[in-house]
Amino acid sequence: MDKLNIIYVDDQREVLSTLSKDLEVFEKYFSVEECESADEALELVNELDASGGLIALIISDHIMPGKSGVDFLIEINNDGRFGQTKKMLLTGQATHQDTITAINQANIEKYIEKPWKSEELIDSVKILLTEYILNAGIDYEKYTPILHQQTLFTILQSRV
Amino acid sequence: MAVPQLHIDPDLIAQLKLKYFADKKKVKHLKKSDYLMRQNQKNSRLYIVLQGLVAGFLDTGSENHQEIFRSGKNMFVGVHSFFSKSDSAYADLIALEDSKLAYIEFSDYEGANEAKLYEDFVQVIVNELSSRQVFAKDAMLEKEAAMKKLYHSDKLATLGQMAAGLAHELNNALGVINGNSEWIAQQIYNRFKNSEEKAVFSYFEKGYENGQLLSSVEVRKKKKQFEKQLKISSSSAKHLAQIDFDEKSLPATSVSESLDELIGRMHYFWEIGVAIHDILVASKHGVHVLKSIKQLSAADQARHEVELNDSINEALILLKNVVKHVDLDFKAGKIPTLVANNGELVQIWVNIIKNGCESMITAGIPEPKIQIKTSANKKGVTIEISNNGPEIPGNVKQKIFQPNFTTKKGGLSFGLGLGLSIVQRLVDSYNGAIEVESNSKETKFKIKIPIS
Repeated sequence: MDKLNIIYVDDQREVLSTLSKDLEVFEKYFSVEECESADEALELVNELDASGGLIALIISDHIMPGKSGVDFLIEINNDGRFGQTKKMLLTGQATHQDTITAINQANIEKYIEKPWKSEELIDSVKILLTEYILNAGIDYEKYTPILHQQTLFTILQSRV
Repeated sequence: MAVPQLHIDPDLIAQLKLKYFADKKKVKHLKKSDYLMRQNQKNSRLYIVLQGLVAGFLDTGSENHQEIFRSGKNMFVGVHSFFSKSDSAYADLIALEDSKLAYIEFSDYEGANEAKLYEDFVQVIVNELSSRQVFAKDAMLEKEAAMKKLYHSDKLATLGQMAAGLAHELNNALGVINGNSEWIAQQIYNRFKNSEEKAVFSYFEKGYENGQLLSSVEVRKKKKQFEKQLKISSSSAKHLAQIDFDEKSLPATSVSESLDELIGRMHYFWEIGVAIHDILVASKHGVHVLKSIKQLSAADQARHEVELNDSINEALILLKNVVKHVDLDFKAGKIPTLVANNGELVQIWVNIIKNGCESMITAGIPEPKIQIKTSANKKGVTIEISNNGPEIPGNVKQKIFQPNFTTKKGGLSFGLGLGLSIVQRLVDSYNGAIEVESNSKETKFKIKIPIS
């Protein structure tokens, strides 16, 4: 079976640890991976893709040493292998121009500011995962408990 | 302001002097500060300065009179009122030095001689116009530069005042977070140290002391190893990897507990320890950031007699954790006692040394070195701080002393872009100078402070 992955990228280990607590609820259904830089994440998505893994969602910080989060998400967006992948920018420091670039060129689906509220973050992740699973034509039934019920309902309704 | 340069042929001046200003009766002596004429006063004379210096001031109604021109030897005064026939002076003319002037009366040349007079003086008139133009332009530029400086220092002062208030409030908040986190850690320690959980409790201490020690790459690598070796679930393998598990230290499982459950408990304690560790790291970082911002505010600037070399040693103690990775060489010269603020001096050294160490560590220099040398001569003291870190590129070098400029972006060592701008401001306040030389072998900051 294809394994679904959630990847989050932040150069600050303390932030990764905090985020991992919020994402723990998804661990039962998804493989959740942490990365400390955009380059590490690029290497990881290549590896996962090569072994048949699917990248459902990438959450990235913006200001990081080396490649910025927005540049990283633009690369992902332009890569045919990850056409369905949902992208979220989680940052405390993005200029107006960064944000415009993120929306126009990286097609990010969600922008959340630091410090984030757990509930809002988890809700957004659920919505994006629900959309991903249904758009990618993956059998959603075994994921049902972790999906965003309202979103699931709306999408299924529109298909009838 | 300098006296505008003459652009008139000296021969012409000599001819004019001979032809028009030779009358010994038409000479005026002025003492320094004497008025030659006052604004709006009738004037029908054209003066040439034989000796001394005369300046024109506009009375703008305010306390500061605006200087609009000055005339030195062989330059003319009263050109405007004399030739424009406006009859009255448009500025106060005051001698800046004891001066001697010769003059002609317009009435002597009215009528037939008038055309000849204009012809002879056309160059003088044109020159007068152009030199006033230059004077006005220079004055404007000078004023603009002063305004800019004022605006900048005003901005810094406002930021400083805000910072002081902000720092006080946030330090209180951080103090509460810090104190209570340590208290909670102590309670957990007391509660579990000798409990039945004590076998796995060591992981709380490990997490509390070190935080998440392994990088995400290392965690992934170890996770794969554990998955293979111990044949456990991928989530248990990840937990073992995160806590940097050493196989020899696996506590015995009880009969009623599976391996996954045991790993879960170990990880749980570790995670609580890491959480408190991270809170403390974050609040310490907050305190550090506030301290840097606070330096901008004028808290204690009193200056006393201080020993320069001592202030450098103090900085090195503060930077103990940074410089321990670096080969340090401090050659302290014989330095006379300076009148300075010790805290400010320490701040200068801390910022420069810390920047140097961080740039070497970030660049992964194999044998990082910091060399400090102090020396003195009659004029002042010189402090050289060099490192063998990467070369600062030319375009970066121009900006390093600007506020808000930083090359450090990530991690907890991130900079506010204030360090070297603070250094610059402090060195300026001692009328000192700072320069930076950087090549592929070394980067050297050289600071000179005059002995006042």
